[in-house]
Amino acid sequence: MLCNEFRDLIFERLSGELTPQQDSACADHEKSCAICRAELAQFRSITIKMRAGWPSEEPMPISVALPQATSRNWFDVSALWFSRASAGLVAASLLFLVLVRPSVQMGLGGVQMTFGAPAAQAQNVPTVTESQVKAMVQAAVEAQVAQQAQPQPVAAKPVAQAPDVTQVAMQVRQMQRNEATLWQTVQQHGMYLDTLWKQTSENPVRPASLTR
Amino acid sequence: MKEQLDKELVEQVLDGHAEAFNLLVWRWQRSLYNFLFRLTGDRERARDISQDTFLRAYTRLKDLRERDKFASWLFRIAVNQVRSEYRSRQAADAGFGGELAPLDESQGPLDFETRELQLTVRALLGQLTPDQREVVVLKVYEGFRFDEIAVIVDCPVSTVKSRLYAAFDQLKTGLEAPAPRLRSAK
Repeated sequence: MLCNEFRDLIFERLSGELTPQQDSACADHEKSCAICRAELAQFRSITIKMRAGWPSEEPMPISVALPQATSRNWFDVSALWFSRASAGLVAASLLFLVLVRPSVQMGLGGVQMTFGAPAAQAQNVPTVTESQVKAMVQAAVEAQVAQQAQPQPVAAKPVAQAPDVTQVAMQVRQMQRNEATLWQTVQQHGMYLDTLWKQTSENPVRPASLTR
Repeated sequence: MKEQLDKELVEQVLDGHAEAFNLLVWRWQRSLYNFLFRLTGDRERARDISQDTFLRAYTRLKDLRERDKFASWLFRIAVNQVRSEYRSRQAADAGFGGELAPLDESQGPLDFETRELQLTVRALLGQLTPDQREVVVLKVYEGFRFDEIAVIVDCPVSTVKSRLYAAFDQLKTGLEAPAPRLRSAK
């Protein structure tokens, strides 16, 4: 062993950290090298003086205020899960309200709840009874008949002239055509009313007066 | 044997038995306090840092991987605490106060030679750099192995040795010379 190698291991030699092979090699080197032997003795003396010069003191007992144990008891765990379940329930309720959109109407007949339609739209739908529809249809028919029954502006004819059979026949045919046109008009009104009834969806019964 | 007992206590604490940590405190408080006192030279600071160190160790105990290395892990926390405090209070000249700390004469008055030696050693330790003082205290007083000191001060073993060698050269000069001039140490 060389002096440099010995000096590299001198502190381990002092504290007894060397392996048996290293320890015997260092012992052999100490026998042959007075300088390294003196240095080792010097370091040993320093260590002893340092220890004697600042002996350990007995401290006041150190009190450490430990925080609460990291493991939770069953009550804490259950409270945590209850709060999570409550939050989940509230979220599910909000989602249900957004998706289903229920509307509640309060009237004389009690509380009525409908789902799937916006409440504002449902309130704006006019409520029409069957009798009102019948009256409306009848009024429309009468108005059409009155319009058709008005005399067509014709050229002035002599009053005393007797009606021609051909002209009477043409007038009858014209009236028949008018009747067909009138019926088409009535049918169109019926289809409109039928659509209106479907929209209200309260009484989807087609008025009997519209069936031919 | 010590390490095995530490490991068992650490595992008990991690299993929820917090009272086992009080045993760890009881086992290491004297060593840690004296280490910090020699490092800072101030009994009050040593005591405060000891408490902080144990508290940090308790809160971070689950991070300790090698549970039989509790002691070196604990001293590493303490060294980091001292370094952090030293950095934060450096402007206020809160470094080593060993020369000013009164000697422990609770066991009776010290004779002249012992008193001189204690004052000399404190003065010499105060003259070392903080890095050198750490390795000297850990090696000479606490008896840690070099690999443990390397972990505690977070540097290679070769660096630890070179710091120790430089410190011993300085201590050798101071201890062989006549008593150094000391400041107003009581």
